[in-house]
Amino acid sequence: MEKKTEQELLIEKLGEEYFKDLPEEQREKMLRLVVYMMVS
Amino acid sequence: MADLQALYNERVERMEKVYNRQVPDRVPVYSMVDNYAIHYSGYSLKEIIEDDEKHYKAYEKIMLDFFWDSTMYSGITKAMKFYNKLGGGSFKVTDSIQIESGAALSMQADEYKELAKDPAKFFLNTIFPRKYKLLTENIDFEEKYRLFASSVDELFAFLNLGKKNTLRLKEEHGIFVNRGASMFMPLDVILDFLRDFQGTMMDVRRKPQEVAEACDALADYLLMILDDIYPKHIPGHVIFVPLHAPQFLRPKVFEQVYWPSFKKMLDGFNKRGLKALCYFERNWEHLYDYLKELPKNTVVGLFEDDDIRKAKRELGDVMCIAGGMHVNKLMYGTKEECVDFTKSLLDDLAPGGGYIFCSNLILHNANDAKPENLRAVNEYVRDHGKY
Repeated sequence: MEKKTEQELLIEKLGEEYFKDLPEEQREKMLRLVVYMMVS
Repeated sequence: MADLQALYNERVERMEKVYNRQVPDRVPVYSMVDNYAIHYSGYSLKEIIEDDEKHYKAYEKIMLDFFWDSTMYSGITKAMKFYNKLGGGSFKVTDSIQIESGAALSMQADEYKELAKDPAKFFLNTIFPRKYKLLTENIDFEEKYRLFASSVDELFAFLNLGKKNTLRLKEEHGIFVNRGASMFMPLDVILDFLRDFQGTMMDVRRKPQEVAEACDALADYLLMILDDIYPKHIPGHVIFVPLHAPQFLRPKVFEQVYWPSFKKMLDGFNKRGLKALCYFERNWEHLYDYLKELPKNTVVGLFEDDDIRKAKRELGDVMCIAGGMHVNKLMYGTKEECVDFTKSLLDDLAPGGGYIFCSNLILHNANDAKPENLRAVNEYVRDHGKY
Protein backbone atom coordinates (compact mmCIF):
# COMPACT_ATOMS: atom_id res chain seq x y z
CA MET A 1 0.00 0.00 0.00
CA GLU A 2 1.26 3.46 -0.97
CA LYS A 3 2.45 5.56 1.96
CA LYS A 4 0.34 8.68 2.57
CA THR A 5 1.96 12.07 1.99
CA GLU A 6 2.01 14.71 4.73
CA GLN A 7 -0.61 16.73 2.82
CA GLU A 8 -2.89 13.70 2.64
CA LEU A 9 -2.43 13.18 6.37
CA LEU A 10 -3.30 16.84 7.04
CA ILE A 11 -6.51 16.53 5.03
CA GLU A 12 -7.35 13.24 6.72
CA LYS A 13 -6.87 14.77 10.16
CA LEU A 14 -8.97 17.77 9.15
CA GLY A 15 -11.79 15.38 8.33
CA GLU A 16 -11.39 13.47 11.59
CA GLU A 17 -11.10 16.51 13.86
CA TYR A 18 -12.22 19.75 12.22
CA PHE A 19 -15.29 18.29 10.52
CA LYS A 20 -15.85 15.49 13.02
CA ASP A 21 -19.45 16.48 13.72
CA LEU A 22 -20.53 16.32 10.10
CA PRO A 23 -22.02 13.27 8.41
CA GLU A 24 -19.55 11.39 6.19
CA GLU A 25 -20.88 12.73 2.88
CA GLN A 26 -20.86 16.33 4.09
CA ARG A 27 -17.37 15.89 5.52
CA GLU A 28 -16.06 14.67 2.16
CA LYS A 29 -17.63 17.70 0.47
CA MET A 30 -15.96 20.07 2.91
CA LEU A 31 -12.57 18.46 2.36
CA ARG A 32 -12.98 18.72 -1.41
CA LEU A 33 -13.93 22.38 -0.97
CA VAL A 34 -10.78 23.11 1.06
CA VAL A 35 -8.60 21.51 -1.62
CA TYR A 36 -10.44 23.35 -4.40
CA MET A 37 -10.05 26.69 -2.63
CA MET A 38 -6.32 26.07 -2.27
CA VAL A 39 -5.92 25.76 -6.06
CA SER A 40 -6.07 29.59 -6.21
CA MET B 1 -40.19 44.00 5.71
CA ALA B 2 -42.94 42.64 3.47
CA ASP B 3 -42.22 45.48 1.03
CA LEU B 4 -38.52 44.62 0.99
CA GLN B 5 -39.31 40.97 0.30
CA ALA B 6 -41.65 42.00 -2.53
CA LEU B 7 -38.95 44.30 -3.96
CA TYR B 8 -36.42 41.47 -3.76
CA ASN B 9 -38.80 39.02 -5.45
CA GLU B 10 -39.53 41.50 -8.21
CA ARG B 11 -35.80 41.87 -8.87
CA VAL B 12 -35.27 38.10 -8.91
CA GLU B 13 -38.11 37.66 -11.39
CA ARG B 14 -36.75 40.44 -13.63
CA MET B 15 -33.33 38.81 -13.78
CA GLU B 16 -34.64 35.28 -14.30
CA LYS B 17 -36.80 36.42 -17.21
CA VAL B 18 -33.97 38.18 -18.95
CA TYR B 19 -31.60 35.19 -18.57
CA ASN B 20 -34.17 33.19 -20.51
CA ARG B 21 -34.15 35.88 -23.24
CA GLN B 22 -37.70 36.89 -22.41
CA VAL B 23 -39.00 40.44 -22.15
CA PRO B 24 -39.07 41.60 -18.52
CA ASP B 25 -40.94 44.69 -17.33
CA ARG B 26 -37.79 46.79 -17.68
CA VAL B 27 -34.17 46.44 -18.82
CA PRO B 28 -32.34 45.34 -15.66
CA VAL B 29 -29.54 47.53 -14.30
CA TYR B 30 -26.75 45.29 -13.11
CA SER B 31 -23.73 46.02 -10.96
CA MET B 32 -20.28 44.68 -11.76
CA VAL B 33 -18.88 46.91 -9.02
CA ASP B 34 -16.18 45.10 -7.10
CA ASN B 35 -13.31 46.87 -5.28
CA TYR B 36 -14.53 50.26 -6.59
CA ALA B 37 -17.13 50.02 -3.81
CA ILE B 38 -14.35 50.15 -1.23
CA HIS B 39 -12.70 53.24 -2.73
CA TYR B 40 -16.07 54.94 -3.11
CA SER B 41 -16.86 54.32 0.55
CA GLY B 42 -13.58 55.90 1.64
CA TYR B 43 -12.01 52.76 3.07
CA SER B 44 -8.90 50.96 1.90
CA LEU B 45 -8.85 47.35 0.79
CA LYS B 46 -6.52 46.39 3.63
CA GLU B 47 -8.87 48.10 6.11
CA ILE B 48 -11.94 46.17 5.05
CA ILE B 49 -10.08 42.84 5.01
CA GLU B 50 -9.47 43.41 8.74
CA ASP B 51 -12.91 44.79 9.64
CA ASP B 52 -16.04 42.82 8.70
CA GLU B 53 -18.45 45.67 9.44
CA LYS B 54 -16.54 48.13 7.23
CA HIS B 55 -16.46 45.37 4.61
CA TYR B 56 -20.27 45.17 4.65
CA LYS B 57 -20.72 48.95 4.83
CA ALA B 58 -18.59 49.50 1.72
CA TYR B 59 -20.67 47.16 -0.43
CA GLU B 60 -23.90 48.39 1.16
CA LYS B 61 -23.08 52.04 0.39
CA ILE B 62 -22.48 51.47 -3.32
CA MET B 63 -25.81 49.65 -3.55
CA LEU B 64 -27.75 52.36 -1.70
CA ASP B 65 -26.18 55.43 -3.33
CA PHE B 66 -26.91 54.23 -6.88
CA PHE B 67 -29.83 52.52 -8.55
CA TRP B 68 -29.38 48.80 -9.29
CA ASP B 69 -31.59 45.78 -9.82
CA SER B 70 -28.96 43.26 -8.86
CA THR B 71 -25.25 42.89 -8.16
CA MET B 72 -22.50 40.34 -8.53
CA TYR B 73 -20.73 41.40 -5.35
CA SER B 74 -21.53 41.61 -1.64
CA GLY B 75 -17.86 41.73 -0.67
CA ILE B 76 -14.36 40.93 -1.88
CA THR B 77 -13.91 37.69 -3.76
CA LYS B 78 -10.70 36.20 -2.40
CA ALA B 79 -10.10 34.70 1.04
CA MET B 80 -6.88 36.63 1.54
CA LYS B 81 -6.40 35.72 5.22
CA PHE B 82 -6.68 32.04 4.30
CA TYR B 83 -3.96 32.34 1.66
CA ASN B 84 -1.81 34.50 3.92
CA LYS B 85 -1.92 31.94 6.72
CA LEU B 86 -1.00 29.18 4.29
CA GLY B 87 1.87 31.39 3.15
CA GLY B 88 1.20 31.76 -0.56
CA GLY B 89 -1.41 31.74 -3.30
CA SER B 90 -1.68 33.68 -6.53
CA PHE B 91 -3.13 36.99 -5.37
CA LYS B 92 -1.73 40.25 -4.10
CA VAL B 93 -3.49 43.14 -2.39
CA THR B 94 -2.81 46.62 -3.74
CA ASP B 95 -5.64 49.00 -4.64
CA SER B 96 -7.54 45.90 -5.70
CA ILE B 97 -7.00 42.14 -5.54
CA GLN B 98 -5.11 40.96 -8.60
CA ILE B 99 -3.26 37.85 -9.70
CA GLU B 100 0.40 38.44 -8.95
CA SER B 101 2.59 38.13 -12.01
CA GLY B 102 4.72 34.99 -11.76
CA ALA B 103 2.99 33.69 -8.63
CA ALA B 104 0.87 31.28 -10.65
CA LEU B 105 3.82 29.25 -11.92
CA SER B 106 3.63 26.12 -9.81
CA MET B 107 3.50 23.35 -12.41
CA GLN B 108 6.14 22.08 -14.84
CA ALA B 109 5.49 21.63 -18.56
CA ASP B 110 5.99 17.86 -18.33
CA GLU B 111 3.33 17.33 -15.65
CA TYR B 112 0.13 17.45 -17.72
CA LYS B 113 -0.32 13.67 -17.70
CA GLU B 114 -0.08 13.63 -13.92
CA LEU B 115 -2.65 16.44 -13.73
CA ALA B 116 -4.97 14.56 -16.10
CA LYS B 117 -4.66 11.33 -14.11
CA ASP B 118 -6.09 12.75 -10.88
CA PRO B 119 -6.41 16.57 -10.58
CA ALA B 120 -7.23 16.63 -6.83
CA LYS B 121 -4.32 14.34 -5.93
CA PHE B 122 -1.96 16.28 -8.18
CA PHE B 123 -2.96 19.57 -6.55
CA LEU B 124 -2.59 18.21 -3.04
CA ASN B 125 0.70 16.39 -3.41
CA THR B 126 2.55 18.26 -6.15
CA ILE B 127 1.20 21.80 -6.45
CA PHE B 128 0.35 22.83 -2.89
CA PRO B 129 3.81 22.23 -1.39
CA ARG B 130 5.19 24.53 -4.12
CA LYS B 131 2.48 27.12 -3.58
CA TYR B 132 2.22 27.32 0.21
CA LYS B 133 5.18 27.80 2.53
CA LEU B 134 3.35 26.24 5.49
CA LEU B 135 3.39 22.84 3.82
CA THR B 136 7.18 22.72 3.53
CA GLU B 137 8.03 24.25 6.89
CA ASN B 138 10.29 22.14 9.03
CA ILE B 139 7.96 21.81 12.03
CA ASP B 140 6.36 18.79 13.63
CA PHE B 141 3.14 17.42 12.18
CA GLU B 142 0.89 18.41 15.08
CA GLU B 143 2.04 22.03 14.90
CA LYS B 144 1.61 22.04 11.14
CA TYR B 145 -1.91 20.67 11.52
CA ARG B 146 -2.74 23.35 14.10
CA LEU B 147 -1.63 26.09 11.67
CA PHE B 148 -3.42 24.43 8.77
CA ALA B 149 -6.68 24.19 10.75
CA SER B 150 -6.26 27.83 11.73
CA SER B 151 -6.03 28.80 8.03
CA VAL B 152 -9.20 26.75 7.36
CA ASP B 153 -10.89 28.82 10.10
CA GLU B 154 -10.12 31.88 7.98
CA LEU B 155 -11.53 30.25 4.85
CA PHE B 156 -14.86 29.47 6.49
CA ALA B 157 -14.97 32.87 8.21
CA PHE B 158 -14.60 34.42 4.75
CA LEU B 159 -17.24 32.20 3.13
CA ASN B 160 -19.66 32.81 5.99
CA LEU B 161 -19.10 36.56 5.82
CA GLY B 162 -20.03 36.53 2.13
CA LYS B 163 -23.26 34.67 2.92
CA LYS B 164 -24.02 36.98 5.84
CA ASN B 165 -23.44 40.13 3.76
CA THR B 166 -25.67 38.80 0.99
CA LEU B 167 -28.43 38.04 3.52
CA ARG B 168 -28.09 41.45 5.21
CA LEU B 169 -28.38 43.26 1.87
CA LYS B 170 -31.52 41.25 1.17
CA GLU B 171 -33.15 41.65 4.58
CA GLU B 172 -32.15 45.27 5.29
CA HIS B 173 -32.64 46.69 1.78
CA GLY B 174 -34.23 44.12 -0.58
CA ILE B 175 -30.98 44.08 -2.58
CA PHE B 176 -30.46 41.05 -4.78
CA VAL B 177 -26.93 39.58 -4.97
CA ASN B 178 -27.23 37.12 -7.83
CA ARG B 179 -23.97 35.19 -7.62
CA GLY B 180 -24.69 31.57 -6.72
CA ALA B 181 -21.11 30.40 -7.26
CA SER B 182 -17.92 31.18 -9.18
CA MET B 183 -16.11 28.78 -11.43
CA PHE B 184 -13.06 28.93 -13.69
CA MET B 185 -12.93 26.97 -16.92
CA PRO B 186 -10.22 24.29 -17.16
CA LEU B 187 -7.61 26.09 -19.27
CA ASP B 188 -8.11 29.22 -17.17
CA VAL B 189 -7.26 27.19 -14.06
CA ILE B 190 -4.01 26.21 -15.80
CA LEU B 191 -3.34 29.79 -16.95
CA ASP B 192 -4.19 31.56 -13.71
CA PHE B 193 -3.02 29.10 -11.07
CA LEU B 194 -0.62 26.53 -12.53
CA ARG B 195 1.45 27.51 -15.55
CA ASP B 196 1.16 31.29 -15.76
CA PHE B 197 0.88 33.13 -19.09
CA GLN B 198 4.19 32.30 -20.71
CA GLY B 199 4.07 28.62 -19.78
CA THR B 200 0.46 28.16 -20.88
CA MET B 201 0.95 29.86 -24.24
CA MET B 202 4.03 27.73 -24.90
CA ASP B 203 2.23 24.51 -23.90
CA VAL B 204 -0.82 25.07 -26.11
CA ARG B 205 1.51 25.33 -29.10
CA ARG B 206 3.94 22.56 -28.20
CA LYS B 207 1.66 19.94 -26.63
CA PRO B 208 -1.98 20.79 -27.40
CA GLN B 209 -3.18 17.21 -27.03
CA GLU B 210 -1.75 16.84 -23.53
CA VAL B 211 -3.20 20.20 -22.51
CA ALA B 212 -6.62 19.26 -23.91
CA GLU B 213 -6.60 15.94 -22.05
CA ALA B 214 -5.73 17.67 -18.79
CA CYS B 215 -8.54 20.19 -19.43
CA ASP B 216 -10.98 17.34 -19.97
CA ALA B 217 -10.03 15.80 -16.62
CA LEU B 218 -10.26 19.21 -14.96
CA ALA B 219 -13.77 19.66 -16.38
CA ASP B 220 -14.90 16.48 -14.61
CA TYR B 221 -13.21 17.64 -11.41
CA LEU B 222 -14.79 21.11 -11.57
CA LEU B 223 -18.26 19.73 -12.27
CA MET B 224 -17.89 17.48 -9.23
CA ILE B 225 -16.99 20.52 -7.10
CA LEU B 226 -19.98 22.36 -8.55
CA ASP B 227 -22.24 19.48 -7.52
CA ASP B 228 -20.90 19.97 -3.99
CA ILE B 229 -21.24 23.74 -3.76
CA TYR B 230 -24.10 24.71 -6.10
CA PRO B 231 -26.02 21.65 -7.26
CA LYS B 232 -29.31 23.29 -8.28
CA HIS B 233 -30.35 26.50 -9.98
CA ILE B 234 -31.70 29.11 -7.58
CA PRO B 235 -34.06 31.47 -9.45
CA GLY B 236 -32.31 34.66 -10.53
CA HIS B 237 -28.85 33.38 -9.62
CA VAL B 238 -25.86 32.70 -11.87
CA ILE B 239 -22.46 31.08 -11.67
CA PHE B 240 -19.81 33.69 -12.40
CA VAL B 241 -17.40 32.40 -15.05
CA PRO B 242 -14.54 34.77 -15.96
CA LEU B 243 -12.92 33.66 -19.22
CA HIS B 244 -9.27 34.56 -19.54
CA ALA B 245 -7.30 32.46 -22.02
CA PRO B 246 -9.33 32.62 -25.28
CA GLN B 247 -8.48 36.28 -25.93
CA PHE B 248 -4.93 35.06 -26.60
CA LEU B 249 -5.84 32.00 -28.72
CA ARG B 250 -6.31 31.73 -32.48
CA PRO B 251 -9.52 29.86 -33.48
CA LYS B 252 -7.62 26.70 -34.46
CA VAL B 253 -5.88 26.52 -31.07
CA PHE B 254 -9.10 27.49 -29.26
CA GLU B 255 -10.89 24.60 -30.97
CA GLN B 256 -8.22 22.14 -29.94
CA VAL B 257 -7.40 23.12 -26.35
CA TYR B 258 -10.16 25.34 -24.93
CA TRP B 259 -13.43 24.58 -26.63
CA PRO B 260 -13.93 20.85 -25.80
CA SER B 261 -13.70 21.27 -22.01
CA PHE B 262 -15.49 24.66 -22.11
CA LYS B 263 -18.38 23.06 -24.02
CA LYS B 264 -18.35 20.09 -21.65
CA MET B 265 -18.65 22.43 -18.67
CA LEU B 266 -21.46 24.51 -20.20
CA ASP B 267 -23.32 21.37 -21.30
CA GLY B 268 -22.91 20.17 -17.71
CA PHE B 269 -24.41 23.43 -16.43
CA ASN B 270 -27.30 23.07 -18.87
CA LYS B 271 -27.94 19.46 -17.83
CA ARG B 272 -28.22 20.64 -14.21
CA GLY B 273 -30.45 23.60 -15.18
CA LEU B 274 -27.77 26.11 -14.06
CA LYS B 275 -27.13 29.56 -15.52
CA ALA B 276 -23.65 31.01 -16.10
CA LEU B 277 -22.66 34.64 -16.38
CA CYS B 278 -19.72 34.28 -18.74
CA TYR B 279 -17.42 37.27 -18.65
CA PHE B 280 -15.96 37.26 -22.16
CA GLU B 281 -12.74 39.18 -21.63
CA ARG B 282 -11.44 41.36 -24.47
CA ASN B 283 -12.77 40.49 -27.93
CA TRP B 284 -14.46 37.19 -28.89
CA GLU B 285 -15.79 38.04 -32.33
CA HIS B 286 -13.45 35.56 -34.01
CA LEU B 287 -15.03 32.79 -31.89
CA TYR B 288 -18.76 33.45 -32.43
CA ASP B 289 -19.19 30.31 -34.59
CA TYR B 290 -18.31 28.26 -31.51
CA LEU B 291 -20.43 30.29 -29.10
CA LYS B 292 -23.47 29.68 -31.33
CA GLU B 293 -23.18 26.00 -30.40
CA LEU B 294 -23.54 26.64 -26.65
CA PRO B 295 -26.77 25.41 -25.02
CA LYS B 296 -29.59 27.93 -25.28
CA ASN B 297 -30.57 30.03 -22.27
CA THR B 298 -27.66 28.75 -20.18
CA VAL B 299 -25.32 31.70 -20.66
CA VAL B 300 -25.51 35.39 -19.90
CA GLY B 301 -22.72 36.81 -22.07
CA LEU B 302 -21.03 39.88 -20.65
CA PHE B 303 -18.79 41.26 -23.39
CA GLU B 304 -15.83 43.50 -22.71
CA ASP B 305 -14.56 44.80 -26.05
CA ASP B 306 -16.91 43.26 -28.62
CA ASP B 307 -19.29 45.36 -30.68
CA ILE B 308 -22.22 44.56 -28.42
CA ARG B 309 -24.81 45.24 -31.11
CA LYS B 310 -23.16 42.68 -33.35
CA ALA B 311 -22.91 40.28 -30.39
CA LYS B 312 -26.66 40.53 -29.85
CA ARG B 313 -27.40 40.08 -33.56
CA GLU B 314 -25.14 37.04 -33.83
CA LEU B 315 -25.62 35.41 -30.44
CA GLY B 316 -28.95 36.75 -29.19
CA ASP B 317 -30.73 33.52 -30.19
CA VAL B 318 -28.49 31.56 -27.83
CA MET B 319 -27.72 33.75 -24.85
CA CYS B 320 -28.79 36.83 -22.95
CA ILE B 321 -26.40 39.72 -23.67
CA ALA B 322 -25.01 42.00 -20.95
CA GLY B 323 -22.72 45.02 -20.91
CA GLY B 324 -22.35 47.91 -23.32
CA MET B 325 -21.67 50.78 -20.92
CA HIS B 326 -18.04 51.59 -21.59
CA VAL B 327 -16.07 52.25 -18.45
CA ASN B 328 -13.80 54.75 -20.20
CA LYS B 329 -16.92 56.75 -21.07
CA LEU B 330 -18.01 56.61 -17.42
CA MET B 331 -14.63 57.94 -16.38
CA TYR B 332 -13.78 60.46 -19.08
CA GLY B 333 -17.15 61.43 -20.58
CA THR B 334 -19.52 64.13 -19.44
CA LYS B 335 -22.84 63.23 -17.85
CA GLU B 336 -24.66 64.22 -21.04
CA GLU B 337 -22.39 62.10 -23.22
CA CYS B 338 -22.92 59.11 -20.91
CA VAL B 339 -26.70 59.49 -20.99
CA ASP B 340 -26.71 59.83 -24.80
CA PHE B 341 -24.57 56.71 -25.04
CA THR B 342 -27.00 54.86 -22.75
CA LYS B 343 -30.01 55.98 -24.77
CA SER B 344 -28.41 54.58 -27.90
CA LEU B 345 -27.73 51.26 -26.15
CA LEU B 346 -31.37 50.99 -25.09
CA ASP B 347 -32.60 51.89 -28.57
CA ASP B 348 -30.51 49.16 -30.18
CA LEU B 349 -30.36 46.42 -27.56
CA ALA B 350 -33.55 46.51 -25.51
CA PRO B 351 -36.02 45.45 -28.26
CA GLY B 352 -36.99 41.81 -27.87
CA GLY B 353 -35.61 41.50 -24.33
CA GLY B 354 -32.58 39.40 -23.41
CA TYR B 355 -30.44 42.43 -22.56
CA ILE B 356 -28.94 43.52 -19.23
CA PHE B 357 -27.50 46.99 -18.88
CA CYS B 358 -24.14 47.11 -17.08
CA SER B 359 -20.56 48.27 -17.45
CA ASN B 360 -18.39 46.41 -19.95
CA LEU B 361 -15.72 45.88 -17.28
CA ILE B 362 -15.64 45.05 -13.60
CA LEU B 363 -15.15 48.27 -11.63
CA HIS B 364 -12.09 47.77 -9.45
CA ASN B 365 -10.22 51.00 -8.96
CA ALA B 366 -11.21 54.44 -7.72
CA ASN B 367 -10.75 55.97 -11.17
CA ASP B 368 -12.88 53.43 -13.04
CA ALA B 369 -15.97 55.66 -13.14
CA LYS B 370 -17.10 59.13 -12.11
CA PRO B 371 -19.88 58.58 -9.55
CA GLU B 372 -22.11 61.24 -11.15
CA ASN B 373 -21.90 59.46 -14.52
CA LEU B 374 -22.63 56.07 -13.02
CA ARG B 375 -25.62 57.50 -11.16
CA ALA B 376 -26.96 59.23 -14.29
CA VAL B 377 -26.81 56.22 -16.60
CA ASN B 378 -28.37 53.82 -14.08
CA GLU B 379 -31.22 56.21 -13.38
CA TYR B 380 -31.73 56.76 -17.09
CA VAL B 381 -32.25 53.03 -17.63
CA ARG B 382 -34.52 52.82 -14.58
CA ASP B 383 -36.69 55.64 -15.96
CA HIS B 384 -36.55 54.93 -19.70
CA GLY B 385 -35.87 51.22 -19.96
CA LYS B 386 -39.47 50.11 -19.47
CA TYR B 387 -41.04 47.78 -22.03
